[in-house]
Amino acid sequence: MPNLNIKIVQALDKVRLSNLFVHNAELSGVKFTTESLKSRKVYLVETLAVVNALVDRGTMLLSGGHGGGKTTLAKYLGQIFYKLSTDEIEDCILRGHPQLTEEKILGSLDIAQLTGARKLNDLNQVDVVWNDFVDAPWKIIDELNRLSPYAQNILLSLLAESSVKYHNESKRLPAFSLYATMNPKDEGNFTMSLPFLDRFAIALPITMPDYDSLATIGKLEKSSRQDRLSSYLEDFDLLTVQEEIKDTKYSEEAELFINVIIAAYRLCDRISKESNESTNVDKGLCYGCHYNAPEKVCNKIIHPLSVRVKEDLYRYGKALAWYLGENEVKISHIQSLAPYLIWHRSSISKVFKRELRDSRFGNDAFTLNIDLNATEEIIKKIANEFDGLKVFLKEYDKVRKGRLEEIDFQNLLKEMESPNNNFLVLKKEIIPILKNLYKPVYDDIRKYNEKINAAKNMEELNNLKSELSARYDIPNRGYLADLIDVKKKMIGNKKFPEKIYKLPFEGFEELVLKSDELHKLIKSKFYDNFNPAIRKEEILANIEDSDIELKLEKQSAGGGKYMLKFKYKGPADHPVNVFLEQCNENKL
Amino acid sequence: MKINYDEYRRLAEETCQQVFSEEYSNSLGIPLPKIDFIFPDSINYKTGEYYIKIDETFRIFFNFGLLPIRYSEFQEEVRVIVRHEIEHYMCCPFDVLTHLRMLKGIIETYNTHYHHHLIDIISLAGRIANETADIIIDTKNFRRHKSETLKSEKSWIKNSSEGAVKDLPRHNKLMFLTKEIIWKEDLGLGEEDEGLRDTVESLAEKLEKGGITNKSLFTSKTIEYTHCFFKLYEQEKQYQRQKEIENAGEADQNLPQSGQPQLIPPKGASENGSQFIFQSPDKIKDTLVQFAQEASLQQFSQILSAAGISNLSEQDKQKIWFEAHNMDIIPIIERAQLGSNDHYSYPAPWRLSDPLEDLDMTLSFSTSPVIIPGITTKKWVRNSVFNSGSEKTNMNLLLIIDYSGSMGDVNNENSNIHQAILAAYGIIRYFESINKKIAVLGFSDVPRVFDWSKDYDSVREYLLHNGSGGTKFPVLEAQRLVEESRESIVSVIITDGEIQNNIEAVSYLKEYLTDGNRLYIFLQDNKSINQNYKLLIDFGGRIVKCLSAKQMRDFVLNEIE
Repeated sequence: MPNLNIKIVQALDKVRLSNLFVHNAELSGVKFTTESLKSRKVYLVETLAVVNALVDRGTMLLSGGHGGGKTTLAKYLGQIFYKLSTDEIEDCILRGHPQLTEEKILGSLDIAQLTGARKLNDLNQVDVVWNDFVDAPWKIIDELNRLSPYAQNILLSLLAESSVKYHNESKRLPAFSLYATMNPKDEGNFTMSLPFLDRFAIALPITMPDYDSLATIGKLEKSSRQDRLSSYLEDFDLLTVQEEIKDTKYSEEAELFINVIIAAYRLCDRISKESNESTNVDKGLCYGCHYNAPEKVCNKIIHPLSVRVKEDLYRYGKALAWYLGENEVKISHIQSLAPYLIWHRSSISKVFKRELRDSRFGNDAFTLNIDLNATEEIIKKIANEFDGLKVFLKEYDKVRKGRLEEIDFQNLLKEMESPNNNFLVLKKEIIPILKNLYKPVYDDIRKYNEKINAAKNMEELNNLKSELSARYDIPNRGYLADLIDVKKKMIGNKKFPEKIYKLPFEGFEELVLKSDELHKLIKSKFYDNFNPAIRKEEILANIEDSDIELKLEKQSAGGGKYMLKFKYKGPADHPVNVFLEQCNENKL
Repeated sequence: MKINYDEYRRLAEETCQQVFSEEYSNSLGIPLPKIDFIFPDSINYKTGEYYIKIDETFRIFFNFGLLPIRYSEFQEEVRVIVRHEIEHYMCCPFDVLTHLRMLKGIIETYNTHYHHHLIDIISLAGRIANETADIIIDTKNFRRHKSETLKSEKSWIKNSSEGAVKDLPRHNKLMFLTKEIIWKEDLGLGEEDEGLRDTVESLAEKLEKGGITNKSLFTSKTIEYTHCFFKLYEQEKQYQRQKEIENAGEADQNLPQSGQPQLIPPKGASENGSQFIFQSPDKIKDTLVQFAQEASLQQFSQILSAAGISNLSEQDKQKIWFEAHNMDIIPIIERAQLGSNDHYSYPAPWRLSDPLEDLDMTLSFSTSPVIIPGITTKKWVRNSVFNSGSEKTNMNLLLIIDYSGSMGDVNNENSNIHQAILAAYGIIRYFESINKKIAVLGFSDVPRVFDWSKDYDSVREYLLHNGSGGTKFPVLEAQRLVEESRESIVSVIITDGEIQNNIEAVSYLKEYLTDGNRLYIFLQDNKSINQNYKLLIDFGGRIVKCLSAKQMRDFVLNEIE
């Protein structure tokens, strides 16, 4: 799929030329590298909104004043990416207000069954009729902060687990992209908790269009132009693109940079920030601490980031790189994105924010959102320190991979311990790990790496893995196990071509009882509730842990019917393969 | 030839950047310095020197007004200077607290062993501390960058001694000689006095013992250096006296009549204390509070002066010290029954066990036309931020303090006024935390009044006053302050004994309590509580004998429990 990013940009340009969306602020620090887009500006709002769509289960929070175009943007993109009409996109919207009932958010019991107009289901129960919003691949929650805490709790499971529950029925949601809008605080809205906000991977404060852009607004009737949005992106399947993006590689430095950001938000020379509520950087924690220096960030951060931030940075980094036409994710992508993925779910020192606000006012640089600005400053400082730190991290990575000679390992440790290196992450984490955990077994680590590299078949790798599982003294056995899995996958890919089978969804639960092996796999994934989400690939077995790889996806077969698509890799005589081959509707 | 200062500035900035990134891997955490130049017409101008300054940022002023040197030499010099300043932060004194401890060591050593010299130790201590720190960090830099450090050191010695290093007094040569001996390099001092070299060798050995950059030994190394410095000063004095006798009255310029040694200015002399360059004034204050706990009030004041912290008045220092010594808040909390609070409602399923009247049929029908109890039935849940019981009431504070002669001197830690102020600081901290107004009424012969205010710092400052005169309770002023407060008041009276107009005061306080105000009286007196005061207990007043601030705090904390 060459240059699908160009198609997206072309669609966005059509929107711009129709004056439907006019925000001109740019995302700093990144550029398009696709040849034909090199002169194209990387607009902030549209880029982040598109990146959110390109990520599997992306969740974005757009905040700002009334009438800034937040909901409009989310609607336009939905129409473009999913070819939805102006009426269809309305079904994807949940409008927040305090009296929203569970039924208005999720669904209700089937009235026809309740009134006896239709018979009960096979289990003699009333079905749940889910609202369009639940199944919509494009979800918009308008005025999120007008939802009561009760409604927020309902949405929490949707955002966190991609599943919802009503009455006795739970539902795993198909792939979706979610956009929520939020207006400034007033007496009619609710404060949102940090864990709830943490479920939004990316957040963007939106300003009003500038004077020049406003000149074009309101002159033309826009409904007809809006109707055409669904045709802006032809021959484009968002889900396929999302899958392609997942394969985008990371540069070594970009990956390390993400780890350093997370570590920098967590580390403190004195306490464990994750478990300390009584003291923090604004309550005397840093008095007299040598890391309480202007360019250090530990003294500016109150709470560590959740693990979700790391996962989100990883996913969104790939999407941004892909969109810009890069082959791999680079530090610049992460540095540009990180503030928008962090500011709304972090807790930053009030003193630092006050100092920053004062200094910006002093320089006539007024601020839009002090939390975002403070996060940008923090990321800048982390990037600056990372510049000096990366040499050590790369060497540390070599230690984990057993690639340093014993003598180089000793020298590295010595260099890291030099008083000239005032890095908290070295002092608090890496040096103690190297000294206490790696040093005693470094020779063994090197040998395991050599053995993994030299292994030629599954059996050897399986033996190595089981041997490693008992070596509790090897600190990086998780990493070595991953290495073995990758090697197994490589061997598996070479040895077994992928086979695709299609089976009808209706009646599958009875059918599968005929194959003990497949039934076991299905049961271990879905227990007694076999309801795979549409268009979502579920892994039933992978070659790293068993002899075969098996994936399942529920797809629409037209006419309100569904089918199950299986992807199989493994020996031809494996009972699962034999069974699937027998039942295959459409042998490929 | 016209000097291109812009080019020099660019080179200096580039060099600083190189030192920060290549030698310290961008891990320092301090900002890059800004570069400026000192010109010959500047008051800080002195050939061959530079100085540093911290206001909003770290700034190095180079004195190269007359420099005819090559760019490469300039860059080499900048590198050495920047390293030197960085090492003050990274190695010695490392932080403000260590610097203050070093100064304390010097002042205590002088006061114990050498005070008979009648030297102004306050102005000398900073220099001695700097010399010790310079030996430590220059040695560290010498070991890492030998030739550059050596070259710079020789040039500095030449410039600062104006070529006559051999003729300097012994104590002035101490730092150079120590470096020469530790480095085992000829710095061009040409020192031939074997006795002097032996003394310095012994000092060098002590400085190197346990590692010259060992932070935990900086104070003890500074003390060793101070001893050596004053021994050499004594020798120099003796030698000068001898010389005077021999030369019949020719005085030496380095040893004026006052006996104050004149030292060579340290490397990187600073306008406001080089050790503080990376700390904002706020952060220094926190450290000062920490250090205040290690020193007596008098020592604290002296050491801060020695550290060159000139922007603090004596009263400011007292204030910091009192704050530091009353780190525990004294929370005079008053309670009242709770009032109503905000709430919000949201729809939720009505269950069978819920009261029938909670069921909202309209909402239930709008949800589903078929009513299934517990599923389609709805009710409204009222969620309020409401707690039953009592809540804290935040009242204004009226501090009434006895400033009669018997209360004593603020600086005397055993005096009643010292303890009263300590306690008052703890109480103020609580009212500051709840953002309520405070007024102060001091009484002796004449009342002192600080009107209602939230300027807590000024209140603290106002309290720092010695006792004198009698004990006339200012009823009229108290009445006025109470009337002026728009909110209820808790008054705290701290006194050491009998009030002259006892009956009048108690009568007023009864009236005050009847109006719903609260009262604490802390009596700093061993005698039993006066019968008149006991009457106030019946009106809700709390009267207790407390000789120290700690006892007052313990009483208040027990009350809360």
